[in-house]
Amino acid sequence: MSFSSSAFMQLYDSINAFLEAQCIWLAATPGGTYIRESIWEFPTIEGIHVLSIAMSVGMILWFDLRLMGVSMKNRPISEVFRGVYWYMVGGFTAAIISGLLLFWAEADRAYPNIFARIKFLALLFAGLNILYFHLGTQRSQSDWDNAPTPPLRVRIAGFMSITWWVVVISAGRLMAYTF
Amino acid sequence: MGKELLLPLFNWLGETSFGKAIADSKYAFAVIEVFHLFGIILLLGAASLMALRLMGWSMKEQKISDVGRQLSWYTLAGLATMLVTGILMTSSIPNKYYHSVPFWWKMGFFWTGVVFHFTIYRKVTRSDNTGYLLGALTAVISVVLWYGTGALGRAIGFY
Repeated sequence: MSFSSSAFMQLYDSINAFLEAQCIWLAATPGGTYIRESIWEFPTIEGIHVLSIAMSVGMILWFDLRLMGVSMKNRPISEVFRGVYWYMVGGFTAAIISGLLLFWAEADRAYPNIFARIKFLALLFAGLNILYFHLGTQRSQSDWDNAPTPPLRVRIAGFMSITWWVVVISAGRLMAYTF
Repeated sequence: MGKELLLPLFNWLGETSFGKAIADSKYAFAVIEVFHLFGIILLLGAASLMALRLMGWSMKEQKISDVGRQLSWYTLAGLATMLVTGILMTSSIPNKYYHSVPFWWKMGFFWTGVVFHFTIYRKVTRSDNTGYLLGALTAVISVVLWYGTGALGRAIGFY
């Protein structure tokens, strides 16, 4: 028991050290240094990051609220989805690209940061929520597409989506305070 | 240009009990700013979808007035959240905001947005008889004002 747990700790420590070294290397590359030390580029990228999050989350919100049976109840769920989909994808793509550029510049500070870890974990859960909804819950969509108040599992999917985005945004804002 | 007239308001905000409490707290400002962000996301989300409908790019199955009525509560909730949390944030470090250039630009965009919202925007988004051009123009102006408010808010942190 003590052997296996110490072996586990050793593995954890070496993965930790490896990832930390990669993040320190990444931030020290010419590209990362350029973004971090820039006068206009860094604030501009951060501004784009915030506004594209507002765009993507602001769009997915209407779909989630429809799934929850809260807004646009008299319209089919598929119709609301079609209405927001491409704008949500566009905003999300801009958020990912600008987010990767910010990470490039500050990877060394982000790696040990607790809020950065919470943000990445919440992003993962938001993705898993979408995957579970798409591969599982959504298969019976024809049964509840027109329902003003969809079945409980559909409402939960919408609620969980909003919850994960709230965590992503809160942790994202708080990580900037703790850098 | 006349911001000196508002200096007493900033001084008073800094002396309020909530202003001092937030300034003394380690976490209050950060938590309030997170809620400020939720307010602007709600507002931008509602303004974006409404703009897309006015441009005829999304939600065309629904009447403009239907979309407008559904989104108006979220817009108001976003505005109210921004305003309350914004006043609280300002009260904790009034000097910083008073001397920040992007802050005054943001105030210009925000209050123009508020006036625009309760006049032209409200009328256009509650009617189905507005011409396409006026609707599209309303969409563009509201998006510029609210996204501008958001971008200038971000700029306060840097300049």
